[in-house]
Amino acid sequence: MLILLTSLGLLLNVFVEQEKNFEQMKNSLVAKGDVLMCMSVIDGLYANSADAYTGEIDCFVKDGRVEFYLDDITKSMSVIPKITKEHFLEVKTSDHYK
Amino acid sequence: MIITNRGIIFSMDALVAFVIVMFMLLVFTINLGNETNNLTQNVGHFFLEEKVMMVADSLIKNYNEENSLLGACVIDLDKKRVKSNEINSLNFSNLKQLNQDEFFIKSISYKTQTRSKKYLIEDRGGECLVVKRLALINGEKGLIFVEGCI
Repeated sequence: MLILLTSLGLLLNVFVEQEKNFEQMKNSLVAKGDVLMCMSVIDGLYANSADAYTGEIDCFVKDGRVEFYLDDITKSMSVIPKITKEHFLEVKTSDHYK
Repeated sequence: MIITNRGIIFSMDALVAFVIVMFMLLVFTINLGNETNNLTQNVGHFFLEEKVMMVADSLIKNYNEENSLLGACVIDLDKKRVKSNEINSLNFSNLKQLNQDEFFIKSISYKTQTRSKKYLIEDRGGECLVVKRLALINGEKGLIFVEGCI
């Protein structure tokens, strides 16, 4: 009986762990998709293709990298444009495109 | 001791406990199945989004004479370079489908302050997704919409 209960306990634990892994993978995909979205908006502003972007973007800029957090997942990408401000993204348009 | 002279199965306490544990396992398994389905859908959606984004990126960053879907930018002949993010709508006349397994581009459209136009590449159904990119279209600031399906 003890062996049976231990096995069941382990099985339950495996299920719980698996569910946690699934959740993490899902978050990772969402984060990766959103950081790509942020990059495309920044690129558009950098290349003088828009004056401003009024939509809400949920990503952060830190040390020349765009980052997106979701729970304990962080996805980031390097950026060339000069970006300032954390809450209101300000992208400097390249002189090359002006 | 749970074992009686009638065996483990006929011990009512053990049976109830066993049924409860089995029920929990069933609930966990069903939940895990649902999670797996969700994840599969998310992965599919992500790969579709990534592919459409890459096509949109190529469209506004390159110039391709054979297929405008891979690049429809303006060329600066004096400087001998492609002007990325600057699109000439005339280049959209040469849009061709990509050969990418089940993935295909359904349509390309653009919208500026003065004009909007849609180019249908393939009239087929499927799980579709539209990606927007900011670009200069015929000198005007606007949006390019790339619709990709799987």
